[in-house]
Amino acid sequence: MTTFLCDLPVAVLADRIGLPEREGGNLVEEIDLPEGTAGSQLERALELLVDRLLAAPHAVLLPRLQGPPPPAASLSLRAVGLGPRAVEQLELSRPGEDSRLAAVRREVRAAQGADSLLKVLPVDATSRVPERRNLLTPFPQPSR
Amino acid sequence: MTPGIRRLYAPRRVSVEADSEGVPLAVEGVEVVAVREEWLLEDRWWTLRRLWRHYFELALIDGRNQVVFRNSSGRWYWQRA
Repeated sequence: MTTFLCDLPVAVLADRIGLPEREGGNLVEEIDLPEGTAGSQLERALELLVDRLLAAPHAVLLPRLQGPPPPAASLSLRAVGLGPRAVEQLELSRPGEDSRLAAVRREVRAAQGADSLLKVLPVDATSRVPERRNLLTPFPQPSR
Repeated sequence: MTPGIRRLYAPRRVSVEADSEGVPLAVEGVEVVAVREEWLLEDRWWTLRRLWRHYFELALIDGRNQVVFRNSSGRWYWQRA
């Protein structure tokens, strides 16, 4: 008797050749994120998660055996865990960064003059008059 | 304004050729190929220092995207808006 792979239930196939977890009929992938992951890193992790999900063997293997892959019917995202609140997270800047920035500021002032460093100060960000939105102000000298 | 403080995106005078309806044809000699957007800005109309500007966002033939406006005196300015 001949048994084709495509005839096997997914659970049996998963057991025999080691496939990713299916949970409640859903395909589940999970990534552990490094501490402080946010912004573009989080977006990249999401892309990676989707890539992994779509590349999962039983999402690809069975449709290939049976014919052209069907379009995805639905896609959902579930956070399986959250880190501490933002106020409890460690500061993201590296130790010593402030002192390095201060050193760079000193060098720029020494080379270009005391008024060479400026900062952008938002004063009326939503103004329809563009020149009212921001001011360029002297960068404060550190107190000694 | 306080010494040492200046505005960002302050308008600067620019030479604009316009048609009879006031629509720009060239900015500093560079041809306008499209008016992408235009809008009016009015402010402080309740004071003697009324502010009135007709803005144009323009595509120039050299590929640049420029924003210019004409004020109530008919003078043209370039501005990053």
